[in-house]
Amino acid sequence: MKMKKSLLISMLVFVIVLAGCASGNKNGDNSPGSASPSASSPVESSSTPEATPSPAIAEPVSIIAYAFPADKTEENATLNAKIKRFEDKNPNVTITPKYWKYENTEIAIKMASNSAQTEFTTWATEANLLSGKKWIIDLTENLANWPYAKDLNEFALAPFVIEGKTYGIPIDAYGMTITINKKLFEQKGVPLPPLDWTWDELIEAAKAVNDPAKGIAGFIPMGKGTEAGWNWTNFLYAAGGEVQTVADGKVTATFNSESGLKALQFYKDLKDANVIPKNWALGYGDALTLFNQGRGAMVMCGSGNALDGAINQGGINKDDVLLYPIPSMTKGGKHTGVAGGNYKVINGLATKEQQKAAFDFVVDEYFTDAYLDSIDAQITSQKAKNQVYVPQLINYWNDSSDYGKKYEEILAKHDNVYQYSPDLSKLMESKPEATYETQAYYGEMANAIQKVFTSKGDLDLQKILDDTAAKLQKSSFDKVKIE
Amino acid sequence: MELQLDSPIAKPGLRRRTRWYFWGLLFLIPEIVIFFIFLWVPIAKGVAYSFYNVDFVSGNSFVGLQNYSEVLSNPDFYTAIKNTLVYMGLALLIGFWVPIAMAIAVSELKWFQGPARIVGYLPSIIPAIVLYGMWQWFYDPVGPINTFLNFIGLESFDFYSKEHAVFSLIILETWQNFGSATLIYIAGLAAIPRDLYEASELDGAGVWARIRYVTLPSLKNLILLLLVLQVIATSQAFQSQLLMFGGGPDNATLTYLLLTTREAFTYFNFGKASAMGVIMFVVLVLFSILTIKIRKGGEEA
Repeated sequence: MKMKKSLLISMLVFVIVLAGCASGNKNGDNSPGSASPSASSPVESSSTPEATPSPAIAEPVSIIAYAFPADKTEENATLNAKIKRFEDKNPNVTITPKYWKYENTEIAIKMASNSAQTEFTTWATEANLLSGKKWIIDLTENLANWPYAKDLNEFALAPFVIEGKTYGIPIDAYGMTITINKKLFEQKGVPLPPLDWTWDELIEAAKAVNDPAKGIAGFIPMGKGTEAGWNWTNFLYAAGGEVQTVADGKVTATFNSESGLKALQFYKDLKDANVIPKNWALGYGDALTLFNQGRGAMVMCGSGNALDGAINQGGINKDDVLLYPIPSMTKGGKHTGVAGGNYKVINGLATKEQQKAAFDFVVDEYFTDAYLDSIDAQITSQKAKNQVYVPQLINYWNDSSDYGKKYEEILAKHDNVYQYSPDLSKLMESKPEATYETQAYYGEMANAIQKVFTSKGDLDLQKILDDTAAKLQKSSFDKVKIE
Repeated sequence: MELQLDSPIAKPGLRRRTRWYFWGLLFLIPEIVIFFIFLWVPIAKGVAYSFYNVDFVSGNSFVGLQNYSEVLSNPDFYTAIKNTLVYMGLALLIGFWVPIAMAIAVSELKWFQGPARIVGYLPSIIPAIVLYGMWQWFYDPVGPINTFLNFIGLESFDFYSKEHAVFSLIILETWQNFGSATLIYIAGLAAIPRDLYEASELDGAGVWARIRYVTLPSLKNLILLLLVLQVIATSQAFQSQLLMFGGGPDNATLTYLLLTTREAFTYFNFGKASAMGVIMFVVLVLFSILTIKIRKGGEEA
């Protein structure tokens, strides 16, 4: 009897699961759209004409804006004021600020649950991934109708222009730099290297300032996670190499070239010179923390980011940190580093109306005085907290434009603004990241780098690179479909 | 049990029993609903997704066994299986006996049994984020362990090298987890009748003989249960591997679940990640059936 009953219950449960599974699958395809009551998936709305309302009638639209963490009161107040100004101009639009900071490990979950903001901020590295997955929309049409589109800084815009389509609006951009803890150099009586330094000069400087007994490393390359590959790519670029080539609709790995070999040899030299931390397992945050703790003399990061953290979080005096370009391979060579930046993108799962409203909201105050005023207010509030405002090297506007000059005037008004060396910008050259399967490339390169950082004795670096390239070619690059 | 259900009140047995089960089922509904939403549906969806190319925007497309074939042709898949097995084996070798020894030691204590239990359990209540920060410092070249080694004239130990990375993780995990297992063993020890010990003492058994012939045989079932639990837990390990080493150096700590996580959340191949989940699920179900069979066989014998 008991047996029979449990069998009956099991069958009942099985039927329920099967039923759930079947309906789940159906819902699975549509769930992102149906998650919000006002939304149907964009695919549906474009295919059913009656779902698209006439543009003449301003239907009420609700969107979610990208807010800051609760403790960033100044930034949130600025955002709320901006929302209010926009809502006054567009009474049919309701904007709710919501906090979620973009993380590449969380975006998939946010998209699966359709809980990312209608407009959010992301990084240059994400352009291909997000657009490839259609998680962000093509903004080319929106930009065509926006009078200021032509005034956007082309260099900053570049990473989000893919196959002629624009997927993001730049907020700011940077090239990779090396941040130096000047104090550690002074403590050891080591002269600072020249700004137009070379790889050899970096190693020499690292050796001189290195102090393993105290746990101080000369140079902190990131070695854990995809950021390891990202860091190394700077040297690949400085050596004149490329990650991949695209020809006849086919992506081919080229980072195992002679330039790649030189860049990997440089990492091997760093390891052999014993100037990097023994703990190679340093992600982005780990490396910057180590630098902020004064346990490394040099770290590689997006222009002012390491510097900002070192001054405003790490408590290092602003006169004790310096920015250097990525060193050139040989004297007089190019100081090429990877370009990056922050971008505004529009959620691909929102309705067409929401996407339009979100775009209008994002660009509403671009090239206006209100935007500059908000920066002015931010600098003032940072001064009150004894913090330093670290401007980005590249902004969404062109520095030579009138708008750029107005911005410079605001910076000049304050004494808590970090001043970049004018020579730095002249030396720096920034190059966008690889277009296809960049994260997979970074991930595979991380393994190769770890091999170099943890192996003793001689290594066949060319073989390591060739193996990595072959594996990546087969598992990722060969599967890329170029439209 | 059946007898108790059939109360002597004169009512037709079948109707009464049906009503009884109706109420029973009613009380089960919340549980069924919760399990359904948070366990069975995800499992069923996971199985379904393993045959799809998952795309939230354009819709999923059926790809048949492609995800499985891609998973099986990925060399990292086999590295991850090997690493997971090595990790499971080493964790058994290095870590499994620690809570047993600790529990016996604590229960043999004449004084300070309570404080000893608390001290043993303390590591388990440290939040993960603090834990990994702490061990990064412990393993640091200038951290306390290496400073101590240098102090006593030994060479520094490289906890981060390819050879030692797994070992470093097992020390960390054992330290973190032995407390809760120790508590379970202590509870098990308390259930052993004292007269067995008294009888063995009368027979002239020393401490070791008591442990060998009374304690361990009495704990046999518990040990087997915790063995199964540890094997299942270590087969799914990925947290410390991810946070301490990111699966490196050169995939030395890339476990099966870490590779699955990487497929899902670094490369966004949810179909492939689901396929890996299904493979893992099947293996664990087979393993569980096997253990139940072995245990039943043992009991019958």
